[in-house]
Amino acid sequence: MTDASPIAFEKVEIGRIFHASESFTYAEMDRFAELSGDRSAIHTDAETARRFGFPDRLQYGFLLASLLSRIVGTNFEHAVCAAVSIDFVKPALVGEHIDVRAEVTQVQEALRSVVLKITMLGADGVVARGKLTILFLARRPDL
Amino acid sequence: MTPAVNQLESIFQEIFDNSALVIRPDTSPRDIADWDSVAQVKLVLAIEDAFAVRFTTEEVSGFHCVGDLIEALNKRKTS
Repeated sequence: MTDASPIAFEKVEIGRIFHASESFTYAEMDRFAELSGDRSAIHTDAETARRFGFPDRLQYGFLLASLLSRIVGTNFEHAVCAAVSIDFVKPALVGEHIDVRAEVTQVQEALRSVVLKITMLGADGVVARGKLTILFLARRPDL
Repeated sequence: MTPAVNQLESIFQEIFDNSALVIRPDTSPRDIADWDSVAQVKLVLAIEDAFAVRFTTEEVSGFHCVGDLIEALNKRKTS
């Protein structure tokens, strides 16, 4: 998942790549359906997915996007997501191994912000790509 | 309008998802409802990327309107 403890803003370098990988199971998909309230049959019912030409249930895009939260929370110290844009370019199937690659492309010192180029790779190539902007919080000296 | 201001206007239009948005030097967050702190971050990052510049802390803290952005970019061109 991650190979080091969270790093401070000052240690973030352009070009560095962070990863998160997961193969979401049927049970995890079901839990996401409960949590999100999205019970769309294309995600919850394999037979429906097959009728639309897919061999199995399609993964939730926003479940995949949750891996961005993991990347931020496990790699960056006291950082939060400020903006996310994702294009889901190809469906991923339940159980398909997804590797999220997040490359630092921009660091703005004054705003303590970092931009990461996101690529999500599935079994047959890119399933999603996008951009994530994160902010490193400044600790209040009075607290 | 100079090419730089044209480009700046395109960035504003993209960030605020409004292709009809027109900016003037005195355009400020008072004129654009969605120009909040996150939009400010996105603007600065997009402008840095588009113009291949890196703003200093002093510059960023002085960005209160479009004119401040134009001035900072012009200074980079002449320095």
